[in-house]
Amino acid sequence: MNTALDIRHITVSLNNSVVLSNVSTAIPLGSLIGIIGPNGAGKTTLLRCVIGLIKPLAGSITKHSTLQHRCAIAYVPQRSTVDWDFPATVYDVVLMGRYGHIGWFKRPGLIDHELCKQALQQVGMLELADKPIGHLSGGQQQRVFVARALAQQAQLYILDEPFIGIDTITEQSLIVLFSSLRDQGKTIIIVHHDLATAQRYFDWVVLVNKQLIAAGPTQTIFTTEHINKTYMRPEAQ
Amino acid sequence: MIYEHILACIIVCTALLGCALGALGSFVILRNNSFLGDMISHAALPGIAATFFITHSVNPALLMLGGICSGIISVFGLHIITHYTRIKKETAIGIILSVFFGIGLVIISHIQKHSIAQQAVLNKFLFGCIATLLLTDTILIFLVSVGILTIVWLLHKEFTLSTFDPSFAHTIGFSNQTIEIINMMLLVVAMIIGLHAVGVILVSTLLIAPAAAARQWAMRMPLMMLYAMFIGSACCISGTVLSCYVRHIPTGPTITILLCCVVVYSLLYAPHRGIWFANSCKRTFGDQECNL
Repeated sequence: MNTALDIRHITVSLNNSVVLSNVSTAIPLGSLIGIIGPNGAGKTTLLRCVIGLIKPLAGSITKHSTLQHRCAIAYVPQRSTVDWDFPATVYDVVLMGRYGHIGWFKRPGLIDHELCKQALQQVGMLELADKPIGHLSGGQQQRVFVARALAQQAQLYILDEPFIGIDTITEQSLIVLFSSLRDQGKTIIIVHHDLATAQRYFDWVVLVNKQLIAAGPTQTIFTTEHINKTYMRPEAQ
Repeated sequence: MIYEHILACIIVCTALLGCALGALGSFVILRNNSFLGDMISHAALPGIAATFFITHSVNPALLMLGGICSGIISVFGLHIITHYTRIKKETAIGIILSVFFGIGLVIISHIQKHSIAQQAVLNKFLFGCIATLLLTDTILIFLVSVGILTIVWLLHKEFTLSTFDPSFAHTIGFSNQTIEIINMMLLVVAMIIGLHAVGVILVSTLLIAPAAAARQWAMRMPLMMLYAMFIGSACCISGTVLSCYVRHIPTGPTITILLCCVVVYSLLYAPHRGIWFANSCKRTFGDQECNL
């Protein structure tokens, strides 16, 4: 197995309480991976460690050689983390996906605008390109964020609860899009809540509740026993 | 003839000052840092007063340098308090503002007690008097404003990205800390030169009001900055001209009142976001259609 991320003995503490304790797992390249666990299990913290937003107390994360470039990892945060009343259009936000390639001081070129339009086309938002982001529905906002990640042309996509508060049709179209990205050899990591759909959506699951419960191919790991263990309070285990 | 020439110089300076503060103000209000301007302007006072006390100089560049130093110290202090303690940002701003302003007033009363010559120069910074600026002052304001506008023009892409989504900016290799430091430095310098125009208490209006009004009209960041720059410079020019031609009208408060009029008009009548527009739209098309 080619490893996208080799996570070793990660321990994270936030505000003097341990959020993740000694988590070790390997994330395979070219798969659709679900990170599953209850609220407060440290799923988002694990992702934020991977992208370098949080420094772990202990442990290390080794990235595959194809993920070393600063634009190789596209992060799609939870929608609630940004101010949607910001004065920007859909196109402006998607173009931000190119900023890492453009670099400091420079302006977007023809190729950046072309890739931006392609990304909007892929998520079916091209006709809304000039719409202010404050006028979008929850599902449309999520698609804008996904388009921004697509414009980045990354190798690894990390999405934090992308399906929260969006309609089923948008969810289905996004999962089809992610599957096609996986078929192109990209790696997609999604923090997911809905146990009913997890088995259908993901090739690989990582079950977390402050510590690693289990990780591996969905067919073998996503069992009732593991799920029960994940959703119990850690003290009761 | 000479009077008109001087007035033209002052008008160009105030226009540039309004532009610089308007452009920076757009980022300040979108980062929810509206009180930061107030803090910096008040924190500059001890620096200016101490420089005057030590050097007895009335050179505006030197006094401003003192103001910039204490402004930077206040911003640094804010960073330390918010990052290393559990005190919230607004509380920290309130503490720093009053402590620095208090120190400034202590130094000023000490200067007044010792009757140091030309101490009236400090009143310029306390209450502002752009209509009586000297040629050296105008050159300084001109150069600093052009410098600030150039840096904002070069970095507006980075500033916008870091303001909208700092986590994403970090993941694609932009250092939020570097962007924040550049932003703060520009803000400190802009606020200190703004003190000359409208004084310590009113300068933050020059930063916040144009941007707040512009937000009502603009749906994109570059437009918001342009509108804020236009509103800021237009009000600065009108206020300066009014205070030059009408007797007993002070510059700072005139500019502030004009800006407040523009903000109130924008809050009421701006398309899409104005109260009047929203109400008339709802009356005509119903709640659903007007949910903008």
